Amino acid sequence: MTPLEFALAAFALAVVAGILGALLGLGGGIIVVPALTILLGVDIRYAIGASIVAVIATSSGSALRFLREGLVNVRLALFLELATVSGALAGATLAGVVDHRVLYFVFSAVAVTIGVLMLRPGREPAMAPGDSGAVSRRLMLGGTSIDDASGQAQPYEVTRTPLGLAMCTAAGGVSGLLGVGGGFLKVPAMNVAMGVPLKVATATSNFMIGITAAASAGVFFHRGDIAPCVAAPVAIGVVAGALVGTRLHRRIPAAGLRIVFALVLGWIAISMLLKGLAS
Amino acid sequence: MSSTIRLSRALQPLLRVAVIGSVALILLGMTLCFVRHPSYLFSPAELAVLSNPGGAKVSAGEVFVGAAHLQGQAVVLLGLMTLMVTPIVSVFLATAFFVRARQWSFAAVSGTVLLLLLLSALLGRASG
Repeated sequence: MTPLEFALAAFALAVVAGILGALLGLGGGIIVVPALTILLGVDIRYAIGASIVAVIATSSGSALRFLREGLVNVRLALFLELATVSGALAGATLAGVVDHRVLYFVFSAVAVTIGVLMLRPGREPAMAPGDSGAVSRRLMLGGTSIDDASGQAQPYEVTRTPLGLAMCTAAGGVSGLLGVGGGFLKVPAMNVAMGVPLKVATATSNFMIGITAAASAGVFFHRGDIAPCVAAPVAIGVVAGALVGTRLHRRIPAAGLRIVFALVLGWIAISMLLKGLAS
Repeated sequence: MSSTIRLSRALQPLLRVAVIGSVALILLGMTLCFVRHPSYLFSPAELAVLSNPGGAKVSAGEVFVGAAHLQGQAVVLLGLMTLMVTPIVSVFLATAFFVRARQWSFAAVSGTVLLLLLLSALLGRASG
């Protein structure tokens, strides 16, 4: 394969990753890393470096539209970033010393765990007003979402902030270690644990993953893990894919999103496990 | 209009400029690479070096100098660096917004996230 053919192939894969990433609240990294290593034979170290840039690109591209539509809860995002940025910093540092085979196995295990978590039905807020915790009330973390069926504005509260923070710390750690956005943990943290509507959780996760990834990107850059030849077509591809994905976001029902998510994660888990065993 | 909506609106121009600017730089850099190295178009041997640079480290200063001389890979890296600093600038903007709105609790939250991001950049440099 020539560099030109590689760039075109990486771009095409990244477009798909960008679409799925924007639809599912991911950075696309959980698709980019296995696609680059399994399909294009890139060293996992450079795949992770390219992925972390792709995560920022996806986040910046898709957050634009979600912000315009008022779906992003910026206050909640920044509050949870306290946890994810700390976790990302620890994860990125750890990635520099962990054996590559371990990265494949951890990647596979994370994909399986999150796939199982997300197959459980999402919960729409069922709390009475005033059900949120003291931290949430003080920081006014709640917001308003638009019901797709009725078009009516529905206020929601945010609860169980300690559990959400714990899950987001783990999301940050996984993000820094594996070069993924960690959206697959952030969405359940907000939706399942904190009672945020799924569409808001997905959009807010899209905004957050770029900030989380920025925490580890500096570490990867200074370590020489970002290969321009790999990262460039991937970054452009995910931006293009994210623009398409965000346009489809409102038209695809939450249940459909979950099934697509689980199928993609199943493929990733098996592929990365096989790659780890073969390496 | 709520302060959250105003902040959301303030962040949009930043993200738009950052995404368009970085994509333009990356595309320009890739074009320069292929124009200056025609072998990239047909030589499979070149890919092994490009996709596995052996952990070659480049400082931000070297990227700026290389980009000023229109070196393809340096221009690509400048585009990638633009992307990488965008979220940090977003958090800076949010912090300034909350300070201006005198929402001190949230200014503290946002400011702490900004400090953690700057700390990560410094730690990355130290470990690199």
